[in-house]
Amino acid sequence: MALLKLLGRRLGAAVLLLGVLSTLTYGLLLASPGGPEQVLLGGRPSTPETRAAIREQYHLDDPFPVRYARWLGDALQGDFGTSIYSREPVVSVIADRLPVTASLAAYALALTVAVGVPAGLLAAMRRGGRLDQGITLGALAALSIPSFALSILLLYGFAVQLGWFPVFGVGDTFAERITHLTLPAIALAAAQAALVVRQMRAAALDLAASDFLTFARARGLPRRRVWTSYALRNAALPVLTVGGLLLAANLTGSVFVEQAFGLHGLGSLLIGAVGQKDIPVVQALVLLGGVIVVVVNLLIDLAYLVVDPRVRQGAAS
Amino acid sequence: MTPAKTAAATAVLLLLTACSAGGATPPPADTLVWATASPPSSLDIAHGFNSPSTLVQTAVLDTMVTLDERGRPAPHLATGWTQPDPASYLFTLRKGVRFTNGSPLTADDAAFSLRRHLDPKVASQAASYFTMVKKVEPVGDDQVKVTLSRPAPAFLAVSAIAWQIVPRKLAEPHPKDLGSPEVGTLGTGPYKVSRFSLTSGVLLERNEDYWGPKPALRRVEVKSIGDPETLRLAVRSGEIDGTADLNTRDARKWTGLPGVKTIFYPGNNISYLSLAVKNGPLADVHVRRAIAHAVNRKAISDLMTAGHGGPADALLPEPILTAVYGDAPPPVPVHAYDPAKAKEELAKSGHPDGFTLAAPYASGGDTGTVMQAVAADLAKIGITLKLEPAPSDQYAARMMEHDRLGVHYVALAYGTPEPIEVLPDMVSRASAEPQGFNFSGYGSAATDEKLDALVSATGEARTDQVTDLLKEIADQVPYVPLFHTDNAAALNEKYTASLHTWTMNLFAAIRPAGR
Repeated sequence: MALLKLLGRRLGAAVLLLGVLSTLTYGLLLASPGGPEQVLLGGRPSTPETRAAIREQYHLDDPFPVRYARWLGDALQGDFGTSIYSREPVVSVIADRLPVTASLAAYALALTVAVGVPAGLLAAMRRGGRLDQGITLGALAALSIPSFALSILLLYGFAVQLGWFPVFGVGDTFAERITHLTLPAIALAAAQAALVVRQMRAAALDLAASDFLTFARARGLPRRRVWTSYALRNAALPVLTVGGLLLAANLTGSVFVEQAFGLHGLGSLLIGAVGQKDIPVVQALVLLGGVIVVVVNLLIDLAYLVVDPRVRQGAAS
Repeated sequence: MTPAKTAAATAVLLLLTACSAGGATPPPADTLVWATASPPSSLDIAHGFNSPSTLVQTAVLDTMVTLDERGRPAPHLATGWTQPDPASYLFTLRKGVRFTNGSPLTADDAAFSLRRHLDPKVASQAASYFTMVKKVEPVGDDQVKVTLSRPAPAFLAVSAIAWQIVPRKLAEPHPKDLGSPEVGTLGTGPYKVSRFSLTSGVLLERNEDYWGPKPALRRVEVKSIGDPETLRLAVRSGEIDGTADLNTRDARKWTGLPGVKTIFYPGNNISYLSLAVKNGPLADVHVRRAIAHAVNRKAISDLMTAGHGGPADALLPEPILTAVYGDAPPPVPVHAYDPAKAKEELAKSGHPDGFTLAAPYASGGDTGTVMQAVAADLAKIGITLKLEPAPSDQYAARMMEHDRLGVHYVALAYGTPEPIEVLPDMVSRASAEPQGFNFSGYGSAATDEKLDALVSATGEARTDQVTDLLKEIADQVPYVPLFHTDNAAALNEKYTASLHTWTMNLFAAIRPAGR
């Protein structure tokens, strides 16, 4: 029952959020200088007849409420329109790019967790030692390098000098996709893993002094058991939060990495579409971004329930 | 295994698979992987009149006429043409040509392919090329008659660029989305499209039934890489065989790449400063002349072209000047770099002590570099340009709206050797409207009359009229010509290419080396 209530509340909030988002985006795009004419005319000399035809075809002279209402009406019926730039249905434009971004985001998150969590725990276990200092310093360095600079470094080192990885693109088969996305995923994951390391280390340090850990050790449980079943689970909440936010960020904002590795993902699509005033594409992407954030947050909350009995009981009472 | 160990093992495994599968396997030499900076947006020139799109269009679609290596119109899908009168053309269609789906090419297809550019439903990007076209009709099975509203010799040259032949059956139901990834296109050209996507690129296969000379490359893949440094690394690693999207200013970064050769040839382009003549200090012709004398064109040209180009003396691209004047320099006065003379001119103006002017520029690309050099030159005679960077899209949008125009750096590229393709953009009053390219706002009824006469002019009369207009521009200085840049291409040494300014089909001009 409590779960249903939570879902209901979230759904209401999501609809409201998406409504506000779409109105704001549409309004801001119309308010900024220029229009879709630049794309439609191809940046070339044009005739007055062509310009008039374009204004009529795309309803450019209608006031904002009329244009927004027209878009909203279509969108509610599931018609997100046609991209002004590529003249393809917006849904297929996005469907073309979503797999790239989704695999990159998932790969990067997997790397982030696989490296960040153990490294953070390790640093906490060896607090103040050489290993801790090394990990903390490494995390600081990874956090400081901008992703586009790291991308070029990785490309130069591993793709050009050593030739282990391809320079650009996504590949066709699954194995090819893994090869192609490894460097981008590392570039994307580096700073994020550093973030997780610090979160994990801080959370685990708090725990290290706690009574239940002392008691577990006093009971003679092996160290590994103490750290994985007791510390990891208790430190999981903040890490889950960060991980979820990182996933949402990866799905919507990996534009620098996409650009550097010649990946045609959602990030580069959004930047291009905003510049070209490709309103149908921007609107759909913004809504998608909103949905992703809402869903990821919901999943995080549900994961809290699973991981932490205290939250579970709090929700039930 | 503990979870941590499993995770570590998975990561190592992933890296190993990655490494073993990594590296590019060399494709056969008759397959070319080409890269563009942005993906082709449409395989129809009506909606994709930009260089990555026309690159693919010219490989797939044949035009009625073409340009030869000197830029003169030559037969292509039309075996020839006659002019029943100066304002009409009768083209004879090549016999036995088929589209790559097997359907025969008809005179109706050819006529419709031109007519559609005038249809407001199509809203063609090539419409401005064909404003003089009044009527297009098939005559019999193998002839097409084009009637112009008046004689316009440039019609043949612009046709060579934009009169691409598509089947009417495909084009008519798709006025707005012919050539999109969903609809695609169909041509009679040397290649056919086997895949077209804005994300994964274009795959072209040779049309084995092509009526003309068979191109040497069997397959061409076109990929897009937006980041210039990534593009360079991809060419260096051999994953990409060639590209024409290198900035000549960075030529040095490319000329040293092992296994890669760079090719430079004259480009049909002109870079210039536009001075808005309508208001403010720039309305004073002495101010504009002062600016023309103060700007060190040679230095800016060296900075921007790294030796692959040169300063421009007249406001026309170099290949167009050559087409009009041959190898002789155009008989047009030049404002030589001379700060003393610039100060003299400024003293004659209403602003003898100089002035300050806001100068917005696009923060991406070359504009900032040029504007900084110009600002430094102008500071020496007391003109202060307050440089204001703006995002490229926003800057371009403002400029096309003709919003608060002042001093602007403009670089334009053209398709034909016809001065009439360029000059109306620069000085006609129609182009001074929003969305037009006359950013100076310069123009008058008299100038429009000259442009109008140039449309129908031929031979020496044409040369004189061009000279007259160029002299007017040099005297009134709505623009300061800066430089022209070579076109550049980088190509893996496995291939060889013979490229020139009027190369229409780039992929047909590339072949495996040693063949």
